Amino acid sequence: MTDFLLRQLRHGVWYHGIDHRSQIDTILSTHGLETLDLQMWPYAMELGASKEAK
Amino acid sequence: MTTPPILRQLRHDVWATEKVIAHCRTLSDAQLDLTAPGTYGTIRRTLGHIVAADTRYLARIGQVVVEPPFREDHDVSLDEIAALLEKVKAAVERVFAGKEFDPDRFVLDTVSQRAPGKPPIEMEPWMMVTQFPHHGSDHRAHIGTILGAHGIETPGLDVWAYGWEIGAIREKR
Repeated sequence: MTDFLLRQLRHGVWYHGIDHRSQIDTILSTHGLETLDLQMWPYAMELGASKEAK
Repeated sequence: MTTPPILRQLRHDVWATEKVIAHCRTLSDAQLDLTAPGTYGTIRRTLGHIVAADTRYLARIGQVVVEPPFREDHDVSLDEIAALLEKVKAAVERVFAGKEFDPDRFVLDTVSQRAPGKPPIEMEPWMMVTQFPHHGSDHRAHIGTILGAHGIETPGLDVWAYGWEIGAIREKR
């Protein structure tokens, strides 16, 4: 639970980050440049927090 | 009792979407159909997408708010979006105000469509709880971009505005 609270706190603090990363994404796609997938799925797959059930 | 941080975060997210809806009620239909390059689509479609996705994130951790939400490939009214958001808001309070929610215990994702023969996906629920505000913030930023690009006022949605409104930040007496 502590890890989870830390993650939440980090995300609360980084609300600002999400907002401005979204603007960067808009700029990139407006100019036809490749954008990054910053959603939870790639992050969680990398961590092992999302996986195929056995 | 201390309010769970997760609930505070999701309350802010719901509040921010409510603010956008309230702001959009001051716009004309033509303005709601505005878009800008690099964003999701029109203001109206983006708002509908935010709230419909909220229901899917909750469904993935076993909390079905409504099945199914409205079709996102159709224009929906602000009233329909607001009504669905009310249900999301109630579900957020119901699920995250208590102590039963375990963010680290794997749950089966019954929403993802899997190819035949592929095993289902399981996930730690913190993932959806983090995706919920990430997704909402991302698309609300799109709406802010559209409004700004067309010279229309944007609402203040950050945590400072929220904190002042609910009295979580104030001048010391």
